[in-house]
Amino acid sequence: MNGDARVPEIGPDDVDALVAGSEFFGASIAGSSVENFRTWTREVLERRGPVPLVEPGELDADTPCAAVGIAGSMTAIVELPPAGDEPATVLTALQNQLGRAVGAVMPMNAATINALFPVLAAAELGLPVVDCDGMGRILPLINQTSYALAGLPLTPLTATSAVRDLVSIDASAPRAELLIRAMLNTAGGWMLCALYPTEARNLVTAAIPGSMSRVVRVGRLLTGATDHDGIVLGLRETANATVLGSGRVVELGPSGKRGAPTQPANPTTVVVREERADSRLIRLEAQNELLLAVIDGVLATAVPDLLCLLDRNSLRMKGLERVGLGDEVDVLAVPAAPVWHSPAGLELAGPAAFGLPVRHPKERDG
Amino acid sequence: MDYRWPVGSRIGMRLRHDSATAALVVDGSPTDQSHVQFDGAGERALTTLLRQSCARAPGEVESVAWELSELLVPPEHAERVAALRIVPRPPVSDALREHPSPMLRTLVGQRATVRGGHDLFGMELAPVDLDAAARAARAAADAGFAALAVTAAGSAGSPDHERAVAERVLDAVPWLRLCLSHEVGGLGLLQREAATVLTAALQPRATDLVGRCERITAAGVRRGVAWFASGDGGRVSAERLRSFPVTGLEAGNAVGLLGAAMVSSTATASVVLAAGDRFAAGQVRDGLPHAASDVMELGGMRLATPQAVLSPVSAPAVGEPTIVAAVNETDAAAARRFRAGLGSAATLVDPGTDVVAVGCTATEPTAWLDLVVSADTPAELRRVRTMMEDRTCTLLASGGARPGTERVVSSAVVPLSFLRSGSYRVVIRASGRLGGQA
Repeated sequence: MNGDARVPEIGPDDVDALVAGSEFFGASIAGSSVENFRTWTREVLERRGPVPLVEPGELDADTPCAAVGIAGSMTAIVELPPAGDEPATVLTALQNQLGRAVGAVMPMNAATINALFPVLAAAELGLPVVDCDGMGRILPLINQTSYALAGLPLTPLTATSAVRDLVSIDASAPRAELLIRAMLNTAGGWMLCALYPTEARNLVTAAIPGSMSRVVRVGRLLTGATDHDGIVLGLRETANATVLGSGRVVELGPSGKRGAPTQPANPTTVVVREERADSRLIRLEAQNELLLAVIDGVLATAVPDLLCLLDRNSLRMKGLERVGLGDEVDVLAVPAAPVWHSPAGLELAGPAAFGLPVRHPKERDG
Repeated sequence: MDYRWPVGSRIGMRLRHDSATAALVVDGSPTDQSHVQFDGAGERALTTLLRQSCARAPGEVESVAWELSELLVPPEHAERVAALRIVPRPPVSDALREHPSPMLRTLVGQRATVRGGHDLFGMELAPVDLDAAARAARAAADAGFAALAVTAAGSAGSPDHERAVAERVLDAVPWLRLCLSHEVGGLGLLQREAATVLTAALQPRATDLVGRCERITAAGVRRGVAWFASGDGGRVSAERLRSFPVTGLEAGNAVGLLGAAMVSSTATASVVLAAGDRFAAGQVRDGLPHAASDVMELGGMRLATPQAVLSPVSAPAVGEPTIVAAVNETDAAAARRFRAGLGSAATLVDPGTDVVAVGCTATEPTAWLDLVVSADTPAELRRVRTMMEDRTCTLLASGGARPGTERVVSSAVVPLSFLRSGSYRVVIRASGRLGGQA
C-alpha cells in the first residue's frame, strides 16, 4: 500500500472508507453512530456525482475558498440530526456575505463527520474539495487551525443549526470561537459553520496538505483489514501511527480538575493497565480529546500529537465518550502535522493551551 | 465479596422455533437438562417438560425464566407500523427522512415528521405541532396501521412533546396503539426510534408468546411466575416484555455468557460463544455480562437498548483464561476447534450443556438510567449521580428486585465533548436479587 497515494475524487463508493478513516482521526467521538451521515453522503454523491479532490496548487491562485465544519457535540448531533440543507445553506450564506462565489471547499478538520460536510457542501454546489485541512485531527476550538496559524482570517463566518437559525460573525478568531461556543448552547448543541474564507494561493502554505486523501487511505485500510496485526501495521504505514501500549481500561471518569477556561467540556482520565509482566500503567488525560499519555509517570506524548484508542476485540476505534471499564485497547499515537510542532503551533495547540502543566517533548527537546 | 450465584431451585427455559430446553439449577449448580421437539403451536409438550424439570427439584422452584429471542426475530416479519418523528424541521434529504437501516424501513409502513423537539438538556427547540401529529395519526389509522411509534428529538431530556402528542392522538384516534420513545429510553434519535419501532412492531408477537409462557408456567410449576431474559443479561417481568419486547432481543447471547460462566463455577470470566461459523467474545463480571447501551446492532440498526457487549473474534488469541461454549448443539465441533487453538488457556463447556437455558436461571432484575445532566461543580455532580443511582434502584425495585438487595453495578460519568463545561452523560446500571441474598 502506498502511504502517500493521492485520491483524485470522492464518489459514492468511497463513502465507507471516508467514514471509517474519518473516525480514526476523531479520538473523542469514534464509534458514534453515523449511519445516517453515511447514507446521506452516498445519496448526495449519487445524485450530484463524485467530488474532485484537488491540491491547492492545482486551483487558480485567485480561487475563493472556504472551510466547512461542525462546531459542537457529536452526542448532540446524534440526538438532533441535520435536515440536509445545512451544507448548501451555510456556504451560500457565506457567499452572500462575501459578495462573491466560492470556487472550492476545504475541510476545517478532516475528522469524523467534519470530513463529510465539506464533501456534502461541495457536491451540492458543484465544487471541488481541496485535499487539505486545518487541523489534521480534531482540536476543540475553531481557531486552533493551521489556517489561523498562517494568519488567515477566520471570519466572516456563517453558521446554521438544525432549527435553521442562520447567523454571521465578523470578529477576531478567538472572539469568533467564544461567540460560536455561546450560541451552541441555544442552537441544539451543534452548528455547521462556513469559515476561513481565503484564496487558493494562501492554502498552499496555510493548509495541512493531503488530509482528505489520508483519511480515505486509512479508511480503506480499516474497512479492508480483518486482523489486528494487519491494522496496526497498516496504520503505521498510512498514518505513521505507533502503539504506545496495549491493555485493559481499569480507571475512567472525570478527573475533578479544572481545565483551561477557554476549553469546552471537563477533564477526564482514562487509565490502561498493560497485561504483561511489568504491567505498565498508561494514564491518559483528556478534555474533549485525549491530550496526554503518561506511562509509569513519564510523559510519552502530548497534544497536538493525536492519541487514540483501538478496541482490540472489535478492531474499531473507540472514542472517549464510548470507552468503558474493562475494554481491551491499544493506545495509538500519531505525530501531528509538522506545523503543530513549531513554537507558534505548540503555543496554540500544545499542552499549555489546554492548561496542562507539562511541555510537549518537542518543546523540551528544543 | 465474591459473587454467589442465586440459591434455591430455578428453571431456565430456552424456547426456539421447533424445540425447547429446560435447565434446572439448584444453588448455582446445573442439575438437570431436558429437551423436547414440538411443532411450535401446542403448549402441552412444554407444560410436561416444565413439570418434569420441576419434579426433579429438591424443593419448591423459585422461578422460571424464559429466553425467547429466537422467536422475536427476524423482526422484518413483525407487524408493520407507522412512525412519527418530532424534530425542529422536517428533513429535506430523503436519506435523512428515512431511517438508515433497511430492516427498519421494511417495518415502517408509513412515516411522518412534525415540528417540535428539545435539546439534550430539555430546552424546547421548536413548539410541537399537535394538529399535524393528529393528522399523521389519523392517516396512519386510515391506512390500516394499528400502532404508531413516536420519537421526539431530545425526549430523554424532556418527554413533554411525546406526551402531548400521545394525548392529542389518543383523543383523535383512541384505538391506535402508541409507543413513545422516552419510555424505551436511551440517547440518539435514530437509535431510540429503532428501539421504539421494534417495540411497536413486536408487541403483538410478544403478547402472544408471553401469554403462552405464563400459562405454561402456571400449569407446570406450583406458584410459578414467568420471568423473561433480557438482552443485558437481566430478567424482566411478563408485563415488561409485553410492553417492551425490544428488551428481549439478543437475550440468548447475554444469558449464554452467564450460563458458560455458571457451569464453569466462576462468576467472572472471559467467554467465547460459538454460533454457526462465528465466534463472539464477551465478559462476565460478578455474575453479570458486561453490557452497554447503544451497542446492539440488529440488521444494521443501532438500538438504544442496553445489551451484552460481544465482539466478533476470528481466531483464538492466547491471553487470559477463557471459557469456550457452543450456543447450539450443532456448534459443538466449532467450539472444540476454537478451544483447541487456545491450548491450556481455555476450558470447553460440555457441548451437551445448553448454556442459554442454564444462563436464564442466573438472571436477576436489572435497571438502567442513561441521561445527560448538568453539574457545575464536582460536589453537584456527586449529588446528581447519587440521585440517579437512587432512581435506578427505585426502578429496580419496581422491576421485581427484593428491597435491600439492590447494588449499583456501574455508574459511568462521561464529560460530553465540545459542549459547555459541566455537561455529562451519566449511565447507571443496577441489579438486585429476586431472592433474599444480597
